[in-house]
Order: sequence, then structure tokens, then C-alpha cells
Amino acid sequence: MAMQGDRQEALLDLAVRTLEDVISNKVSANTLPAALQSHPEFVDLHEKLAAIRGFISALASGDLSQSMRVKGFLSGGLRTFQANLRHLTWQTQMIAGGDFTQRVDFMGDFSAAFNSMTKKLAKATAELKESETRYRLLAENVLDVIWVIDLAGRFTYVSPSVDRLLDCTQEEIIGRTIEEVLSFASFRALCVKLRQFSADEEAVGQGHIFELEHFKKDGRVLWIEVSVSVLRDDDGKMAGIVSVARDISKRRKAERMLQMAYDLQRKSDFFNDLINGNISINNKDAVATAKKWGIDLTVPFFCCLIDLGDKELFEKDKINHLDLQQKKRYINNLLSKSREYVVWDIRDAIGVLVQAGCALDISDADMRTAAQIREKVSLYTSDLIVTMGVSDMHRGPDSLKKGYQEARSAIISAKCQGEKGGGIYYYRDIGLYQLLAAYDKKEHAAEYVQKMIGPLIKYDREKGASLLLTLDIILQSSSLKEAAQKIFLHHKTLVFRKQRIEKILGASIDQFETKLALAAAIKMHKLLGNPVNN
Amino acid sequence: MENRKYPFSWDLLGDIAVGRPNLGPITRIELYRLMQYTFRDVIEAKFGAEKADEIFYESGRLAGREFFKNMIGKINDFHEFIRKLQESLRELRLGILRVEKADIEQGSFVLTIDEDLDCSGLPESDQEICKYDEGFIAALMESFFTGRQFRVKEVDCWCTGDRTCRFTAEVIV
Repeated sequence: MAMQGDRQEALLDLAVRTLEDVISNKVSANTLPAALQSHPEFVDLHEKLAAIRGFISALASGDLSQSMRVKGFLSGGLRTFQANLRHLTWQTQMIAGGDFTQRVDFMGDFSAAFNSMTKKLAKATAELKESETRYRLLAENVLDVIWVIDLAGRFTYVSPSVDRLLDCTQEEIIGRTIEEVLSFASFRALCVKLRQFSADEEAVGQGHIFELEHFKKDGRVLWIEVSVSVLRDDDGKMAGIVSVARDISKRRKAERMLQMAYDLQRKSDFFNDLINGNISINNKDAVATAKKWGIDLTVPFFCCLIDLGDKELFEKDKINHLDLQQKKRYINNLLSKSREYVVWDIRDAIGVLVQAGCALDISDADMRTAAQIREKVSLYTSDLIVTMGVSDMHRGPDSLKKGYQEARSAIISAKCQGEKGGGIYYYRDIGLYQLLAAYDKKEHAAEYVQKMIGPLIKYDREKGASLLLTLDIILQSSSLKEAAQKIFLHHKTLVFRKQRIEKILGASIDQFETKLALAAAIKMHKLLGNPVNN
Repeated sequence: MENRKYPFSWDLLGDIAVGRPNLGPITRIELYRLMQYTFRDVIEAKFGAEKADEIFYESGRLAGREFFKNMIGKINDFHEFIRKLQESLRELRLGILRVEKADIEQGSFVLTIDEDLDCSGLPESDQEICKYDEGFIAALMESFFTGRQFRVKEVDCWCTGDRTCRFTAEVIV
């Protein structure tokens, strides 16, 4: 009996240690001691405890997928706990998906904390969404273009207004690099700045402004002003740049026009001063300045003077005069684009200096250049009469004034000869006018005219005759017969008129000297702006 | 079947406000369970336990279909369906519905009902008893996922020692 009691006590002790092993030890024995395997109820209890241990172990390690077939209070409580955790997991997934109506009511204080967090998250998300909507609305409706570029220079965002600015869709820009859309000079300038930003982030600050050349979809270049700010990541490191871009092509054009007008004014002041003698021709600085403006006065050049329309007509009509001034500006700008010649503005004309080759005579090439100039001007002024005077070839700084006067004389001679259709007139072709034109502003020119043909002018005025015109025709003709045909008179009538002219002037017009003197007087009369017929 | 006396319609629930002006719509759970388990006893006695389970499952399906039609109404997505169902079941004191798993693409769900009207507090046995709930949940799922058929099985029940009733719902068609 004592031995049996000892054995039962040992068996009980073994059973207790075995269950204690399941409950307490971190590593439980896999097999049941042989002495206990013959007790089915103990085996069943041990299996249940082992299953509950395994379930708890899985829960403790975060594994909510385990199932347990053991029934009863202990296992039921654990399954309820597992069910709550699994439901909480599902609710969290729902919240992550945007369902902020989820509430927890089965986990004590945790429920209150969780629900409070969900409400705050809902509020923050709503505020964020509202803010995002506001900014999106702003970005989508602003006329300027907002874009974001990463550190590789790739567009990661561009606002829809890019369509208006560059004729591109957002999709056509996003993913491309700045190298692809900017001109090389602009790309290089921006890269230099970005490198500076990367190297010295502290000194970057905000709001750097660049003017860049951006390609439109059709390849045309658009000037844009870009305000650049640095974009930083959560760690405060530079992550890219955010920019606001706007079209400044009109402003750039206005600035360019202003600069061109300013340059033209300075250039015109310089050349006009040189022509009028306000600057010494011996001044080396003047030669250097002329060279800076594009003409080397030490090598052959010739001067063109462009006269637009009838000056008197424009002065009578103020509106047309303003129109003329505007057209002059256009022509100045147009011709200034060429590097082959230098253009400057003269009060009533446009001056052009053309650098020629080594020859000291006007060559065919130079004549072609002059013709090209007139053609360009005529294209812009199809409604105006364009008369161009061309000087001889000159060299040396002291020749500029002379070249200008020659070109002017060529225009004057054209007008004196009644040429009203415009054209190109070369100084070398104007004959006597080469001399006379130099005297058109002198007082003794008028005295000479009065002395030589004054009585005839007076007679025409008083009698309503046209003997001065008749004299002019006779002097221009090789014979009286030719002259009579020109003015549709009978030969004898012309002979009679000739005799009357000679009587009025008190001189025979058959003498060469008299002919020359009278012809010069008539040309001078024209130069002074007077008509030869009433 | 011919000569049916009471084919179900929602009207059979009656106008409680008119009919019970003093006692109102609330009654004791014991009475609900008294009726259910006496029904079950008689049916089991007459047709066997298996047939009784089948009858309760089908009754639950009929109830679920009518409940969805009359109490849930129009909904847009699964989240709204669950939320509305949770609110309705809690408001009607039927139980606290929770979702453990919802794989919409695979049609696989795990739901739990705490404090279930049918079984919470019942003595423990080795049998899951919520057959009516199984049919009820199946009909709700089928009403939402129109054209699909579900098999719902109670895997844990108060009657088997658990605190909550857990149901798996799987698409079969």
C-alpha cells in the first residue's frame, strides 16, 4: 500500500511538473512523459493547455491568424480578444482608406484614445483636403505657370496654365528636363544657379528671379520670367525648386526697342555732331567711337542718304508727319539689324554708311548694296516715295562730312530735275549740281539768280508767261527745233520767244559762256526751291 | 406549397404604435428566446435536428432579405453597408457586429456578433446554435453582392464557450 501510495504521489508530482512546464517554461517539452500517456484525461488536458499556450504565443507575437478548436472559458476569452484585435485591424484599414466614421467601443481606455485620434485625423485630413483644393484651384486658374523641378532638372509638376503659356499640355511637360525646353544659354545660366544653391543652401534664401528663353511647342522661343524658390524635403535638405513663370516677351520687346532707340539716339548724335563739326575729325576717340558703332572711317566707305516722300506735304499734314516719324523708326530698326552698314537718324532723312572693299570707286557690288537698302526701305514704305542719294567712295575720318554732303547733293539734284518717282541717285552722275548744291544755302546764290535771270522771272510773274521754262528747255536742247518739239511750239514761235528772252535779259543766248551762266542760274533757282514755270 | 396561411410580408410585423400604445415596441429577450427555442424543440422533435437547423437557416435567410430591403435600403459601397448594418443591429439590440476580415475580391469574410440576441448567455454545449444568424447574414451578403450566393458558417459560439459568435462567409456562386 505504501509503495502504491508513493507511486501515485510520484505520478501526481510528475503531472504537476508537466503542467507547470506548459504554463511556465519558455520552452515546453514536446512529448508527454510515458508514465502519463496512459491517462487519457490527463493527455486531453495537456493537449488543451498546449493549444492555448500556442494560441497565446501567436497572439503575443502579433499573429492574429491562428485558430484554436479548444472550447471553454479560457479559450473563448482568448478568441474574443483575438476577434477584437482582428476587428481593430480591419477598422484601421478602413480609416487608412479614408473611412473616418469607424469607432472602437470594446477596448476600454484604448477606445477613447483611438476614437479621439480618428476624429483628429478626420479633421486634419479634411483641412488638408480643403487646403489642397484651395491651392489646386489657385494653381489651375492662375495665369502664371507654377512648376516643380527635381534635383535632376526634371519637371515633376506643372500647372494647367502651361497650356496658355507654351501651347503644351501638362503631360507633355511633366517628365521632361529643363535642358529639353530651355535654350542652351538659359539652361546653362539656370544650372549655374542650381549648383550654387546646392553648394551653399544657407545662402539660397527665397525668390530668385531669372529671365529665360523657353521653347514653345512649335519651336518658337518665348521669354519668361521665373521666380525660383528652393523646395526642401522633411529633413530640410534641398529636394528641387518650385518656380512661378510668366510671359515677358512683350516687356522684353519693349526693353529691346527702348535700348535700340537709345543706341540709335546716341549713334545719331555722334554722327550728326561729326557732320556738323561739333566733334573734331582729328579726334582719335571719334574714330574709335565710329568703329564701335560699326564703321571704320580709315578704310573706304560711302554714304547713303534716304529721303522719304515729299517733305512739304508731310509738314502740312501733321498726322502724316507723325506716321512718317514712326516709319523712320521702323526703317532705322530694320536697317540697324544688318552688320553691313551703320544707320543713323538725321532730322529729315536717314543716313547710312556702308563699308566697302579696297577700291576707291563705287563698284557694282556697292551699287547692289545700295539697291538692297532701298528695296528694304521700300518694302516698309510702299506708300511713300523713297529717294536715295549715294556719295562717292571716301576714306579717312575727314571724309564723312563730305560723303554726307555728296549724298545730299544727289537727292537735291534729283528733286531739281523734277524726279518725283524716287530712286537711287549717285553723286558722280549729277554733273553741275556737284558744284551748285554746295551753294544752295548761301546768300550770294540768290543774288546770282536775281542778277542773271531776275528780269525774266519778273516778266513771267507780271505777264503770266513761261519764258523761264522756255529758256530752260532751249538750254537743255541741242537745237531750237528739238526744243520746239519738246514744248509743242512752232519753230518760228520759239524763235520769236528766244528773241524776247534775249531782249529781256539783254544778252544773246547763243554764246557758250552765256548759256553756261544762265543754265547755272536756273539750276540754282531750282535749288533754292523755286519752280521754273508759273 | 398550396393553402399557405401566412406567406411572409413586412406588413405581418404590424403597426406597433397602434397596437401597443402603452407597452410599446420593447419586450424581454427571454420571451423572444422562449418562442425561438420552443419552436426549435417542436421542430427538432418532429423532423430531427438536421432538418431543424435547415429550417432555421432558411428562416434566417428570409428574415435577412426582408431586413435588407426594409431596414438597410440604398447604399453605395461595402463600407457604407457595414456601417449601416452595424448601426441598425446595435440600435435594434440584435447584437454588436464587427468585421475581422473582408476580402471583397475573393468573396471571403469573417464577421463577429457580440452580445448576440439568440445565444449570448446560453448554457455551454458542444454545438454552435446560431443557425438563424447564419441564414440572416448570408441573405444580407447576398442582398448587397447582388447575384452572388454565400455560405455562412458559425465557427465560434457562446454555446461552445466563446464570448463572441464568429461567422465565416464565403462566396459559393
